[in-house]
Amino acid sequence: MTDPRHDRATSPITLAQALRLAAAELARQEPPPALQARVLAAARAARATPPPLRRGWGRWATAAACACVVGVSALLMLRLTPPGPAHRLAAPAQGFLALVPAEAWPREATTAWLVSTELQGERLAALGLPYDPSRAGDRVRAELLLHPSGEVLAVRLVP
Amino acid sequence: MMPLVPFVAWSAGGPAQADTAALVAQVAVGDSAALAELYRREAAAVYRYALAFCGNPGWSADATQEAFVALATRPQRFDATRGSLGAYLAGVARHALAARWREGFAAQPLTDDDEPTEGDAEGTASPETLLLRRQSSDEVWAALRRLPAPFREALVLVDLQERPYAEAARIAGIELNTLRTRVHRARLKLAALLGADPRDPS
Repeated sequence: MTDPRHDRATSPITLAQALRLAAAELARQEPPPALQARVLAAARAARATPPPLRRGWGRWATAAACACVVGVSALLMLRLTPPGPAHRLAAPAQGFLALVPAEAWPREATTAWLVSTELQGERLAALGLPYDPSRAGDRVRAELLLHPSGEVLAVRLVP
Repeated sequence: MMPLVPFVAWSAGGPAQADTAALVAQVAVGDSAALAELYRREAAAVYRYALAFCGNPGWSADATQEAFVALATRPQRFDATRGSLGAYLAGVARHALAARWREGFAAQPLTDDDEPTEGDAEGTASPETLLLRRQSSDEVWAALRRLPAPFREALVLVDLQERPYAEAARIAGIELNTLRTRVHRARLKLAALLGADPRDPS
């Protein structure tokens, strides 16, 4: 880290100059070259592994699942029409499938972005969309409706 | 029911922020290429912050990795309206380093050290103008590492990485005024460590 030009000189410097010397030294530091591959592999592994339930949550999850089953069964038995998919499709005309409840939609018409992208087929299942498992590796063109916070509000498949 | 927004509108942050938000959205749906692009843009600054803060390349790499894995697995925690992605990632890396401190792997605790100590010169307006004898980069870094961790962090964020005060305060998890105080006091302490007399600013 020693800069020989400064070692040879004897005139004083200001603290600001000393800090600039350290800043220049820091700017030359780079992450290890292998770190990117390590990060991407760790991210893939983390996505593939469901987060562990905290102790005691397993019983609550089981109870909640049972309650859901009972509730849905009761609904069917009473032949009640479940409330329409209020948050499922905010605007059928545009063909978007909403991924967040209606109350989470932005109130201003200028706070969403439309982003074109490609999704792997298997990601469709994660988004609650139908997909063909035999073509899970295929990429599908899609448009995402994006809140400035980064949250994906809705998705639309593009033919 | 709110109508669906049918068009793209660039919001307050401008195209660059929108571009970052779009990449984060792609990360949210599992796009590894988007994560790689964000790594290419942001990793060096996160790593340098961690390295300057803790001085350990291995820990800095681990902290950088934790930041990006957190982004990949919980991208909804990044809110572009509250700050830049770089600040968010640095904040996550800081948490990772703090956890190591808590686990006792570091000798120096990551705690506040804002109490005035002998040798501090509260009245010095511009410590950065203090004259020092000519220093090598090694000597400056050795002095930086002798600073208490909160002071070192403040100098790293503001003076070495030249981040805006508001962003630096967000990363450090402190109020803006606290950060300003720490920067000022850290400069004085560093000057003292490097041999300047803070009572006689030149």
